[in-house]
Amino acid sequence: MKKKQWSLKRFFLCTWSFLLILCVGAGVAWAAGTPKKGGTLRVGTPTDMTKLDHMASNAVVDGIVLGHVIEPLITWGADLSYVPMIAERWEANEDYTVYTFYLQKGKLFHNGRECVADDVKYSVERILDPKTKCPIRKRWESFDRTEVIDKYTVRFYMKKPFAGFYTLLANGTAYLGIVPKEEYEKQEQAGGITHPIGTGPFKFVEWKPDRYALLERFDQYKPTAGDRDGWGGNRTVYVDKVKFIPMKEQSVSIMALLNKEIDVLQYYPMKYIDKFNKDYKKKGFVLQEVTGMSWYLIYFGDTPLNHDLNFRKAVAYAMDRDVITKAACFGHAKTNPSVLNRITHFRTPVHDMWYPKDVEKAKQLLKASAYKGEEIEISTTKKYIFMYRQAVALKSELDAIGVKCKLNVLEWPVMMQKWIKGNYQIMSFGMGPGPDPAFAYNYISRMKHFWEKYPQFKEVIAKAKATADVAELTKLYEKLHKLQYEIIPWILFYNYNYLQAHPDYVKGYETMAFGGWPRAWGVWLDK
Amino acid sequence: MLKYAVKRIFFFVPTILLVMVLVFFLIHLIPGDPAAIIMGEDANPDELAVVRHELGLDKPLPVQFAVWFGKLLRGDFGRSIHSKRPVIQSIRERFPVTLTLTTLALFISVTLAVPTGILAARFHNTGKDYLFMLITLLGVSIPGYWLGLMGLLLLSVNLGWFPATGYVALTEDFWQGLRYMILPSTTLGLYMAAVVARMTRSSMLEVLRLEYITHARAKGLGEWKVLTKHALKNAFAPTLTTIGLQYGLLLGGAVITETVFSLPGLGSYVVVSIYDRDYPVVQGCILFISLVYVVINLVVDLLYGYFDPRIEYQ
Repeated sequence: MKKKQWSLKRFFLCTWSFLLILCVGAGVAWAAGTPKKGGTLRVGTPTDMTKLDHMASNAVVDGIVLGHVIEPLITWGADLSYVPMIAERWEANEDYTVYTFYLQKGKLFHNGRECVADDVKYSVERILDPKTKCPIRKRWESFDRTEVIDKYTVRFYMKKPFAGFYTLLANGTAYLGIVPKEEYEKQEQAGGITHPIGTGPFKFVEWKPDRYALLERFDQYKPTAGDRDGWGGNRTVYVDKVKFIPMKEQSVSIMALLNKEIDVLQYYPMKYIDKFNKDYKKKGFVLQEVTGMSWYLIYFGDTPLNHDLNFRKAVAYAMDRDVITKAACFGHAKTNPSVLNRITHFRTPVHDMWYPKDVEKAKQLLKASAYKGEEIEISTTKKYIFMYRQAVALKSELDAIGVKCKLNVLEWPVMMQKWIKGNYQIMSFGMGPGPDPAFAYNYISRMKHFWEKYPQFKEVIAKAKATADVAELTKLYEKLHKLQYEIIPWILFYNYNYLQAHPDYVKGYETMAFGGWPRAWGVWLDK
Repeated sequence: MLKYAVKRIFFFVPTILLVMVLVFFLIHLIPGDPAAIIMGEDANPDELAVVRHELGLDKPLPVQFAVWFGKLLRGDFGRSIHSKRPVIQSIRERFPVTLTLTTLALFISVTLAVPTGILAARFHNTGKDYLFMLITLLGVSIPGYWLGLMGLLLLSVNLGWFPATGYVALTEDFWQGLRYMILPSTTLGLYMAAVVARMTRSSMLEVLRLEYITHARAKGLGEWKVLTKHALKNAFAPTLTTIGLQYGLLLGGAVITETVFSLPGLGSYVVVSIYDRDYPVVQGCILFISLVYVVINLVVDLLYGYFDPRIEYQ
């Protein structure tokens, strides 16, 4: 009996101990997972800001920094759907010629004034004003006018059916961020935008060129409920400030991370991944890797040889795209023959269709082509190292089928000029993400020589821009990929992975597939 | 001396004019279109034409030069094509960074190099001379880029003595600013020191062979006094020229050091602007650098008279 009592006592003791451990453990876990307010989040970026006018800049870094300050009506969610920002809801008529947006009430600008429909009208006028020099103004050619219905309702009219209007509104660079008229007019009269103001979760403090861009939390910001969602969703801010620090030299940026002089490194170089896994992980650093949506590809320029389909097909058959992807990104990328990224719900198996590597077939096609053994120039640049590395791998693949190649390594401005004019033979190129497939096809195919020869491509894109019906769009995008397969105007290789690193005291940070843009909301420092 | 200085200043005018013409036409002749960079991947020929017109790049080059020159005469260096910031404002912000870096580097290099050069000359053809010269040879041969990275790895990452990147102006916080500047200025200073030490040694060697030095020693003067008071003063003119040239060159842009240490200086800004084809920035900055360079050369020329009384200014 005594023994039994003791056992009972022991049972209770064990149970209580277990519960106690459970509670302490849960408490610790809860404490670690509980956001803490305060501190400055320092983000190391590969380049410095270029300008403070969000409408005039297509630089990614400007989109990232100013995207924390100035909000658009809608933005991209994690699954590439449109999510609310300043607009709480919206609707379009059947033929996509009229769009109505209902604004959130009580959304404040950083100067304390409420954002209303007149500000939306002014912002649209401003982005369309040639003086603003918006680099994507041409994308607005289907837009007609804005009508302010009431204080919180605004209506947009298109000249023709244009379902891609949402994409324009959600664009992350050179974007329609809503700004207060009185502030922007005053700054423009004084010579230009020097202090951006918006409704974002952060207020602009200062930009010291080549040193940093500093933002501070806007305490009157009212985040939406729910989770963080892409560039939108819940934008609750925990840090007091965020500082974007440009670090042009890659190895130095890693040293700054190791020294904890920065809290997030936006681009961790792929070639140092092994070192990270071997040494830095042990020291409490975390590496995040997400496949992005940027394209890396080759273009065929406007030359008589390139107009020969047999030659283009020979090049397509010559290439093992996995080998090229590995050579360019050390395997940290996903091969993708389609313009459609792998996240979009429009993607079907058709988009995986491409030419397999077949050296014999490539040689036969080359023999049947207009190629007479002349030297082919592959234009590339070292500014974006993937373009150079893939060009080296491409040269080796083409050498193997008997195409004599040489690399022409160009400065970026020269390469851009050649790309626009089409005066190159083969160009190893890359492009930033285009989440909307219709725009992406338009974006990637803007070559005059290509449009002239294959007008059907443009026609299908125009149809895709005029509808938002998912089933119809899916069919149209399949059609576009099949056309791409037949015509071979370019050869897409891969979407590379974004690698971002941070010390483990940075909590709540997540790399975003859309451009790998760092987000300072939802992040806290647990030092 | 004043007359000489004024005369030299008058000579500046054609030099600067020539620099302006050369810089303007060379940067415009390099292939690459700033409008294409502004427009990025969205560029198309029609939009590019509009942007070029807005920037005045569609006008003939002589007209563009005349417009730029006219603005310069009014003290307007123009605005950056990309950031829209006034060029003069960028120079005002960035030149102090380069000036601080280069002046500290100069201080470090002269402090190290002149005694090293003197000692190497004094102990000519001995083990000490060979050691000093080997060190200076290494200083000249090691690329600044590598030296900077190794310095960062050792003193910043491993020992944690200095920050790896960043900049604080000495006027904002002197000690903190100095902490940020020590590593870059030492990297730069070591290279300069190697050049200056070799020049000091060779000019000292020439002077030490002269009869008046033998005479001074025969008078019973101490060796240190012979070296510093009699030999160095006469041997210093070529070293001074080297220091002046090095200082002027580096003020124009210690590009590599600025890039490695992420310093917001003038040199790295000019290089980035060349890649971006930001014509007003390149033109304005190079014009400013040329002005600094000729002023430093004038100062060096005027200092010759102090070190070598045989020099007369006419």
